[in-house]
Amino acid sequence: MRNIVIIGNGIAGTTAAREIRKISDDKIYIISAESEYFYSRTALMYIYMKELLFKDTMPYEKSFWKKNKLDLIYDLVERVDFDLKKVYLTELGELKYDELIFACGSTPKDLNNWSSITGVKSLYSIHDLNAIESLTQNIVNAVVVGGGLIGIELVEMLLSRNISVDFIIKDTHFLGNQIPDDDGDFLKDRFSKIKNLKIHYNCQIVEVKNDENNKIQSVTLSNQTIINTKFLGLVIGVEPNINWINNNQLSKQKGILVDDYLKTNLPNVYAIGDCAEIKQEFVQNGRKAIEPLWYTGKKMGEHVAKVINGIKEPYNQGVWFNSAKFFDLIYHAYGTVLSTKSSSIKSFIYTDQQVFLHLQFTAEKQNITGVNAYGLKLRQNQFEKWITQKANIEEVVKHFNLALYEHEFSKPYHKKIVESYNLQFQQNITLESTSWWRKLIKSKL
Amino acid sequence: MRNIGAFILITGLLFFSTLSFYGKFEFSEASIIKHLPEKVSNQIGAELIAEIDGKTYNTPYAFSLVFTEIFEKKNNSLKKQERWDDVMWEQPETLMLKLLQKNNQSYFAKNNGLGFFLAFVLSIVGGLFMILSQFTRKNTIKKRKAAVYAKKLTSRGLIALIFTAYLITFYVVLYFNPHLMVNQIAITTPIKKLFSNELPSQWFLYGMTYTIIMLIFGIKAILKYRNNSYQIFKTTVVVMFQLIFAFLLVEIMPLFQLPATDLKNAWPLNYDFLFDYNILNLIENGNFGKYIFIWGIILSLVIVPLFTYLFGKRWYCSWVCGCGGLAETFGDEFRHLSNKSLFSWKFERYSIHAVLLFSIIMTVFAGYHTWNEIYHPLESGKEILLGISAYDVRNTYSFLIGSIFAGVIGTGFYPIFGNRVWCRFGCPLAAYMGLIQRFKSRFRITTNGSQCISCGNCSAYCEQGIDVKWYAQRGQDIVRASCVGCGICADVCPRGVLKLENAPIESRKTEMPIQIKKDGKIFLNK
Repeated sequence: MRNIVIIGNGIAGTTAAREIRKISDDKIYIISAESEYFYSRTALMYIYMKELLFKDTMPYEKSFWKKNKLDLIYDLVERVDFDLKKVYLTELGELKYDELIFACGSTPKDLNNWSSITGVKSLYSIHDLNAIESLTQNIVNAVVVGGGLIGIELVEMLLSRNISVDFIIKDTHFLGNQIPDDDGDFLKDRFSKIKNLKIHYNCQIVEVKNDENNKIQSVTLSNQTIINTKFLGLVIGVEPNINWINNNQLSKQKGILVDDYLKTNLPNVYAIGDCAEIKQEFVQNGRKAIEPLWYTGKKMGEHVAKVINGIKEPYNQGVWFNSAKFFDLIYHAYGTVLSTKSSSIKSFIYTDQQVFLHLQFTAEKQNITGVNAYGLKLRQNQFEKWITQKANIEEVVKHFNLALYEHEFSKPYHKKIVESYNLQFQQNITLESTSWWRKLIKSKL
Repeated sequence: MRNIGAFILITGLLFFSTLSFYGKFEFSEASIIKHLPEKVSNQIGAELIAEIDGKTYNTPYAFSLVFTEIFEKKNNSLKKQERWDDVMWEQPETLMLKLLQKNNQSYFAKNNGLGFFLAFVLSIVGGLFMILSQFTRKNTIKKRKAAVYAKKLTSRGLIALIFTAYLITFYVVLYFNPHLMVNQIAITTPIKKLFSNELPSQWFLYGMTYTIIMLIFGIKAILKYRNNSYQIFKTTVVVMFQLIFAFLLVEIMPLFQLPATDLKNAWPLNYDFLFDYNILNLIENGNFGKYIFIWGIILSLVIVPLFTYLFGKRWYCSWVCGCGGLAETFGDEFRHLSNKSLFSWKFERYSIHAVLLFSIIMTVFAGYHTWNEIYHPLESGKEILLGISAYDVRNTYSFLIGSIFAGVIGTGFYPIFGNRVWCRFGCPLAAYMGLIQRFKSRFRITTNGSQCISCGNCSAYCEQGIDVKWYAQRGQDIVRASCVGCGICADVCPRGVLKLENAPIESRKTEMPIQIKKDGKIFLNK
């Protein structure tokens, strides 16, 4: 019976533990210095907005861990000795391992060490959230820098307390080079309608001034604007949390380097989730070496469980998918959507100013390659099928109702999408009509 | 605007509540005799007259002390003498209510229009001000979730406990001491007059108040969920069912000599369906009475299972039922208070099926008794089956399940245990439909592949205490007997993972077998 030690109880580490337990009876230890029980950091914003309690964000009941014989250790790892195969904990001493999995997540970027100033905080852990809660108690305005997924959540949080927000984005539009300009312009237009929110595009912070008590006073932007504020949300991105690993034996770059079996260069040592960096030769087409996403962590956790139990399957990054929420707009993405124009890829865009749909397909064979949807929810299984099978764009458009994942009685978007496609591409796709009673009982899924 | 609305609302509610401590009841010999059943006036008429003739009582309670003393004293002495035929079996509260109603000289009984205005119109206007004030605020992000943990009322604060106490008091008085609400009943007269000249009963007060609350909170819900087509439709339909079937038709049908019936109330929720007074009433009303009886049977035995097969039990629990309608409107901001633990789930399965069993047994007793009433009316012991009196079984069910569980606990516990306590732990119709939904229904809540981020919003806001995220994070469909299809989980999900759907039964993903290749072998693993 092996000792399997997992450093980190986030989605990656916890998934690895659960999936290993499904196959084997080995002893499994999950170590965390952040929180006693696994919780979903994607829900932090809802705790702040008083819509959820911290305990609501725990994906498993407290009794779950004992029931499944997963030992939780609430302690900080001081160092790891790879020769002796031991993990040294600050309080509980040493822990021997047969298999070691690094799942220690990421840490917020802070290029200028502004977070040493009181009133400047990132949003990553529950401790960050508690700090933000006290820092924003009675303020009237705040500055948030970083036009990404966490930034927009932080902005929504602050606006919910009627705090005016200056949102500093260094690119021409939100999410920068991750989404095409058309998508960015749609979002720009939607965000401009939100009261108490001022977005500064193409802008960066050049200086953060603090008072004699090291409390933040003001923020100076690259366009010379000075904003007085008592809170700066520093959310410019995350990087793998590996600086605490002082051992040079473990091969690292930006993250802990792993192969396509999620193995590091050291025997019986693995790395998954935000802290892992897939070696360049194993990175699949259209994917990245480091993907600090909930979904990637989960998938890697599932995969490392198989590898640790001798199942020789390489890690397949699969068809890309992601989702997010921008205020009231739900964002779904499947496959690859290029953010810069290319001669080999064509775009079909549908929008009614409330929702925005961007489908991309190959110019040559008209095969669907990816989709970005804002305000229009899409069925993952359907798009995965279409993208894997390289379905023709016309088939996708004609059967779009199979992929629509909206509430019942929603607008008949599939009709509007066909109309728009026909108009833009001078085609004549027709929809089969269904009788009203069939629609009512939905006899065709 | 919100504070003005709150002030007006509280004024209206205070006025309504204090009406119980108010009054001017003056009795004359004639009015006492006229408004008591003959048997009762024979027994205690003289004594009553001697005590109360010419006196003025300023509260219903003061009068009730006097009346109850005389009533109980007489009944006790009759029982001691074993003069069972002379014992007054009526509830004294019902007798008192009638006497008080017919002798109410108070200002607001005579000026009931003004009373109606001060209690109901003010409350409605105050409530509407509070609701609409949310839409003039600075923040224009279309939020659908209220910050329930920021308000004490929705997070079990002191005001929530006070509110629960108030609701429980209301129900206890309504069911068991209606005479204390004689003034509140009197001020509903302007509305009752639209339909008939009969005096309103406490049930009219209840039905009218219930419908008004559903209308106001229905507006609130539609405004809150204005971006969700399913919620708009659902709220509109369930409020219309309450307004039309449970209130308007019940008042209008007697005007056409038809028995007043809530046509959407299905057995076993409609637990007195086979009671003698119900069946005899239907029979007396000729053909239409018969049609209503047949409709009741078709509803419970054909329509309920068929629609539950097609749509899941949501067609009734969220779109038709009055209890569900109140839960979805008035109870909208209490959803997160439902208990999500595994223990709760185990408990609910025992309690709800126990009530279903009880209701079936009770119906057998009641049906047997009614059959005898019709076909063997002169037989003695016609209500006795297996040595037990059908009256006892009926009364126990009525009291424990019909009044306490469904009424007092069901609604009174909103601010403590959420808005669906009756629906989740008690309703026998829910148990019946739940079995169909779990095993033979086209309804499910699908989960969108791997998109779930385990944030916990769905489970937190599930009014039935289902741990929705448990299924969502595994990509499994939610097929649970208790799901009422309110659709809120799908609404609060920040990643569009959940969708309520009807589709062929075979496509329901209720199990997630995991195939693992180990040493070249494939096997299923849980």
